[in-house]
Amino acid sequence: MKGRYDVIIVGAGPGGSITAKTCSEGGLDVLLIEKRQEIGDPVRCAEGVGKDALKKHIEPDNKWIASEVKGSMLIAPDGTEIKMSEDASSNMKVGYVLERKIFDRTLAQKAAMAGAEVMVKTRAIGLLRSNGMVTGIKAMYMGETHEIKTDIVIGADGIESKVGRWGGIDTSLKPGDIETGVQFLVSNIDPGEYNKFYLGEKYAPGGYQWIFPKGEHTANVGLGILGSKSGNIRAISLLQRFLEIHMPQAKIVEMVVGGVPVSGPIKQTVTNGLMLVGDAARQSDPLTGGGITNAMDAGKMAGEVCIKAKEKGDYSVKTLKEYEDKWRATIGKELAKSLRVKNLLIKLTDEQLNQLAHSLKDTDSSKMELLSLLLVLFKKNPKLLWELRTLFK
Amino acid sequence: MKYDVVVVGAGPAGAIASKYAARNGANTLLIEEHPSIGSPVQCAGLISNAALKECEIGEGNFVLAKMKGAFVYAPNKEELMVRGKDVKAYVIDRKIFDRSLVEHSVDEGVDFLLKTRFIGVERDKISVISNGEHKQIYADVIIGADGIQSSVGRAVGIAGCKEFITGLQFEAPYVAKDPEFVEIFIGNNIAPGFFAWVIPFKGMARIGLAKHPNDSHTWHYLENLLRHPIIASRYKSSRTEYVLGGIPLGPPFKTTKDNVMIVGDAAGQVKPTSGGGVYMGAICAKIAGEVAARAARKETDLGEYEKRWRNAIGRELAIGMRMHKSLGRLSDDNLNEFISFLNQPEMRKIITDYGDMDHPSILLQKLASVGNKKQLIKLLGAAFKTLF
Repeated sequence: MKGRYDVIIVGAGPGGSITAKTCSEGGLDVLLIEKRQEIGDPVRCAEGVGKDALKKHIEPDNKWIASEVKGSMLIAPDGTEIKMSEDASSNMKVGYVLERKIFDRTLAQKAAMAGAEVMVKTRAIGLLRSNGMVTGIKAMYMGETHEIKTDIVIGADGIESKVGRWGGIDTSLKPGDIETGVQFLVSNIDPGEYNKFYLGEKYAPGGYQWIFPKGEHTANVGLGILGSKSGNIRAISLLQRFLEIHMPQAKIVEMVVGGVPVSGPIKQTVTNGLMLVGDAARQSDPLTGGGITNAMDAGKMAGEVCIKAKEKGDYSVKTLKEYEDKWRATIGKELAKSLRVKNLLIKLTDEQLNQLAHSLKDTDSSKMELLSLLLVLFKKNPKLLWELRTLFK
Repeated sequence: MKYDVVVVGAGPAGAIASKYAARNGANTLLIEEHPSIGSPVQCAGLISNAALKECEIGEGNFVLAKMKGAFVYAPNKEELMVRGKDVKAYVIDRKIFDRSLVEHSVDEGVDFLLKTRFIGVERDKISVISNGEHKQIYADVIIGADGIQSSVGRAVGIAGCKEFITGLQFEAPYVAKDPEFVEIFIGNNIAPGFFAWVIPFKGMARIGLAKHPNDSHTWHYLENLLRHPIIASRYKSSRTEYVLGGIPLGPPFKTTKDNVMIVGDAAGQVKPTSGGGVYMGAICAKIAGEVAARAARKETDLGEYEKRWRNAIGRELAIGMRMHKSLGRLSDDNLNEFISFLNQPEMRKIITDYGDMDHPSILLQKLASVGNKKQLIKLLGAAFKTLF
């Protein structure tokens, strides 16, 4: 490691790696650090992404695509199935389930090959400042503290970002804003061709339960619950019970636990000499919990703003704010819609969810994406979904 | 819980042993202390053709690149090109590889428990901590596939392996001389007692070394390696992943006791010349699994495992161990001489025809039949004599 870089990125998940790659390709001198010794491990994610959203950033490669799916299937508490697809125009498979252990590493490798210096086992422990600007980081590497100077620090260090906090941004979450997730990789099952979402209190109070195909006979099976809704029930017990009932033959070959923020966006994601990207900026979808492609999109935007800032020689909020404006106008808008839908959904009882599912009995939803499906639902159940009336404008 | 066979440790040896136990009719449980398989990685991730074949899982998406040969660099930088006729080895992602092996084992009917740590064994009763809770599992036969410094082996008083070497590796962008060739560096200042390697894949490479643990400066040697002019001209910066681990060399005198056997790294079933453990581990794990299943039905005893695995790989292990010892004792001048000896055209042809990562003894025999025996004996002394 050197004593100075144009940009230092903390955290080598998809958001951090895309930021690093974008900056390097723009000619900046970049350091990307990761505290773990292995990137992409442990995986804390259901690993689903939309094909088109992903292809904007990277050419798909079978090495890190575990399987392809036709779309999503929502399953009401009484078992009624609703099929959906993000691409209304085709019969093609629209989604990938990734092998994130390989995917995340591939992205970091691409950043390194684009010229960024990537250092694992390197932990940020604080920021350097001068005259109200963030001017570098303090990092631990091989038991030694290094002070490394830079023009811009990117916090891509996950939920409740420390980098953000050190920079004076409140990144803390209330327990009620975190969905507690647990997921098993199971084998010896038929995963089907859709990402399945089981809705309702009986599966996951305040959240949902999912099955994402990951190969011929394996899948990610998990659930997220909201502490405020689930009382004393533990996520892992609910998931074990689901397996016993729905897939008794399943064998668990891996398990992960983690938290997903579902509170909606954070108030501030830039300050003088600092930007936040990905989960650090709470850019995950509060409805689906998905955050990979949002983080990559945001990483690209942040990288582009870094390049502009370097050209101007100004790293203050004035310049960096362009990132904030840009992501809020795009990703942020989607997040706001999702938050409203989620807030309504968790209020519905299992009977109401069943009623919504039954109202689609004569509708072919298999070519609809979420918003069009919601519109159909709204027309058929205006009373129940009255809160969503402004969503479709 | 009651099983015919319980296998401790879900690395390649444990996965294969459990699969073979189940295939031979045993009600089998595989336990793994970590919440995911294959983490942390403790291996360079280069396996031979034969090793992959022994694993019986085909060429999955864990294959990152295929290697056709190697450049070996002597301390004086002389380059020896070792080229096979076709693909000799695979660069693999160990996490995905290990997980595929377990999935195949589970498909064979094996029960699998994660986050379950072996604590101790008392006759047919194993104590574990599973997801934080103390539990007891009954088993007729216990297989310890729990790696270097096996807890299972220690619990029943099976001695550890004879020797350990320590390895350290990282990944980074690298401009390999040939993307299908591994680069090997030998020398007492580079990796005393073993060697350093560069394993290329897709514009990246795994750069690492293993050495005698006589001093504790593996990190120092790795930094030093990066200043080697050949590596310095091909590597710029970055470390996108670190792997560190110990490699056991030389099996203990016994690998079974009562109703317990150990297999894989735990039993030192590792090629002493390369440090690779998948090939030998897989061969022995199959024997272990089959014998365990039959022993659980009282059709045989565990002595059969001991006998059969030593028959299968004992000679290769013994010769490999001697080669490792002989090579490890060579001065840099001797190593230079050895590489230039191998670099003669007729020697290179033999290497191409008979070179085999898994059976260096065959190569040694062939070299001896053509080359100057005196020179070989001088260099490899003890190893060479055992062949005749």
